[in-house]
Amino acid sequence: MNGHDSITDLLARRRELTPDDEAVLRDHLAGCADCRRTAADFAAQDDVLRLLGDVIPPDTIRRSVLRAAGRRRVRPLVWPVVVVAAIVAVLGGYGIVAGGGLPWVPPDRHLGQGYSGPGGGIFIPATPTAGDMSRDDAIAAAVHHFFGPQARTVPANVSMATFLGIYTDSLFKPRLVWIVRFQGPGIVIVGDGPPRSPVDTLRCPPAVGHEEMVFFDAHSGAFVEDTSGLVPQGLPMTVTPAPAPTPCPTPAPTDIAPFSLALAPNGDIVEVGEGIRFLDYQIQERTPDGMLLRHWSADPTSRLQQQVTGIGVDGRGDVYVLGNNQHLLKFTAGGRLIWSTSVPTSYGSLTNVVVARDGTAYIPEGTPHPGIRVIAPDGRLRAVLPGWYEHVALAGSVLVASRAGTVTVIAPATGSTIHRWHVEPGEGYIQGVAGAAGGTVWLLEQRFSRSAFLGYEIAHFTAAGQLLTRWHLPTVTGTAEVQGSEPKDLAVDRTGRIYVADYGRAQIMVFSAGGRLLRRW
Amino acid sequence: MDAGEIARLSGREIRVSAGVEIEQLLDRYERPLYAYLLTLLGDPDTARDCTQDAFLRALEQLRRGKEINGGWLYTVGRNRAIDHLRDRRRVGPEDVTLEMDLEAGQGEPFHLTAVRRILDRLSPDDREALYLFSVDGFRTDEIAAMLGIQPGALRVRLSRARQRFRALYEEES
Repeated sequence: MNGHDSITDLLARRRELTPDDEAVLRDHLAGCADCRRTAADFAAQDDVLRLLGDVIPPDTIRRSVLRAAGRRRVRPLVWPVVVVAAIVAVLGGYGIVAGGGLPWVPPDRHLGQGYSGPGGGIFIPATPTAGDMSRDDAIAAAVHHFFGPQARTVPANVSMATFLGIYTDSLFKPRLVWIVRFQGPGIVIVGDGPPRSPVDTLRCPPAVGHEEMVFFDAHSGAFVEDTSGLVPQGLPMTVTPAPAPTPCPTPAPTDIAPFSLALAPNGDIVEVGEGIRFLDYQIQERTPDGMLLRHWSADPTSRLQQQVTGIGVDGRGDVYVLGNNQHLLKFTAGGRLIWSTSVPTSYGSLTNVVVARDGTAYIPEGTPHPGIRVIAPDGRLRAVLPGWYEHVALAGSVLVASRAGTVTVIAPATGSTIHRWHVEPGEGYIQGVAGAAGGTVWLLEQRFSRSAFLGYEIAHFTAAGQLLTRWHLPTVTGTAEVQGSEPKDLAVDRTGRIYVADYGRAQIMVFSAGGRLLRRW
Repeated sequence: MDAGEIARLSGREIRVSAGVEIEQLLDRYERPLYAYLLTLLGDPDTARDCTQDAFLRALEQLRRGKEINGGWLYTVGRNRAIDHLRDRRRVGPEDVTLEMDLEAGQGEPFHLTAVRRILDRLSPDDREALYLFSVDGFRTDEIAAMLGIQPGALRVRLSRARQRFRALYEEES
């Protein structure tokens, strides 16, 4: 065996090499172009081979196994019948306190039959042991956690319940916890919560409002986690007065909460969003004034059951839609499905898509496994450009990619970096990227100061990173943010108008380049 | 787990039930094991049966207090697949081939066709080694244990498979 052969053997199983072997390998690669090519090819091999794992097993497997295991339901994780009976006894024993405004709503599907926590764990009711945190202490800690250190009681329009039990999180480390649950129309929160349709939320607030829970370790009294995901970041849950009862208008079938949007060659706006039914994702084409021209389902075969994350349009007006279960679908401008294809990923986290005039699609994978997938117009994987990015856009002839607060300008043919710069000043997280014909870059940013959320901003940069202009989204400053605004994507037309897809408020906003709100629909 | 058992549970003394553990195993291995067996067998129904059998065997073991890992599940699933092939085709395990009945119609990934076509041109041994390492992420010593060969032999097999796949991929491109 010559030196190259032994290096090839190491490259074949590179991810399991010892540090010493990896060091030997690196030394050799530094001076051997042939072996560097082999290394790159083997890495690409893993990318394409992982496609073979892109199979969804029939649900009968899980159902049969869980039935044999004596478990009642498949998802979410739930308790056996005896445990459900046990919690009734626990609830009776420990009681439930209610705030002043609302009668307590009995445990529902979340806690009446079982609770699958934020980490995917399960909760089993249990009895306290000596020295554990008391229920009153848990309530006080929960009130402080959600409503601030000065709060002493639960607001009038919020109800509360407590549960003591064993919680096993996704890491399988069971511990005795107190769960304190708040529920009511006074809770207004934006972030990771239970799945809900923003269209429903906006147009017809549910009578019971939102619910959030907080977990405390009953042995140590320490905070474990909360369902909102915001409070640990310093973003307190907001409590508002109970809404006045108003007639609830019926949402129209074409009401959608947009995730993403793109510009058609004729200047029309093509958007994709969530309709009023679960997993009802629609593609809509509208004039720049917002007039609906046509709409069709983003999942015409009802086979994909995917959450749509991005949309793009090529030079012919064909529409490309990306879903989070790795599928890319191509439609004619009229809405006929041309093809669908599975995009190779390592973790299945495809965040958005941009499409060049010739129909080449660029798709970043928002995980540490690097690579922008380049999909040819016929749906075949053409290349994987190196780099870990979350968003991509085309600005003139270059590709603009972002991750967290960093922007990279890339040559699409080679994947080589042309510019790289960071969002300044302060702290920003790039939520969306759009390119202008002249090669400049527009960003939709979430702005923070330390961990405090300041709102969303639109910023305009040259390709080299020089800031040209920056302005706040006018509807999401201050308290307006918690009213539900959740911008997801932006696009820029030839005249410099900015279109922002606001998922949370189920609207498209149109701004002048200077930040003046021109219209919304 | 009955109500009395629940009442006795507390803190660190908790033992997670077999039912909970099997669900954890399903979360982790159901999809990759099914994909592996589907690739091995080329028949969704048989792949489903073999996957289900492997998990049911795992449940029995868990109830006996045994520990189960991914390698164990794959070995059981693979043995069940070989049993099926023997029954169906009257062939030995050495003739187990990685094949896939791929539809090239709407909704199917186009580039996956090429990957499977290339993989089908590898020898069955090379194909399986490459699949288990690249797709399922097992270490070479784990794969060697599953296939009942020495780790050194498996590494030679893997290197050969990679080089052959590379040549065929370039040819295909």
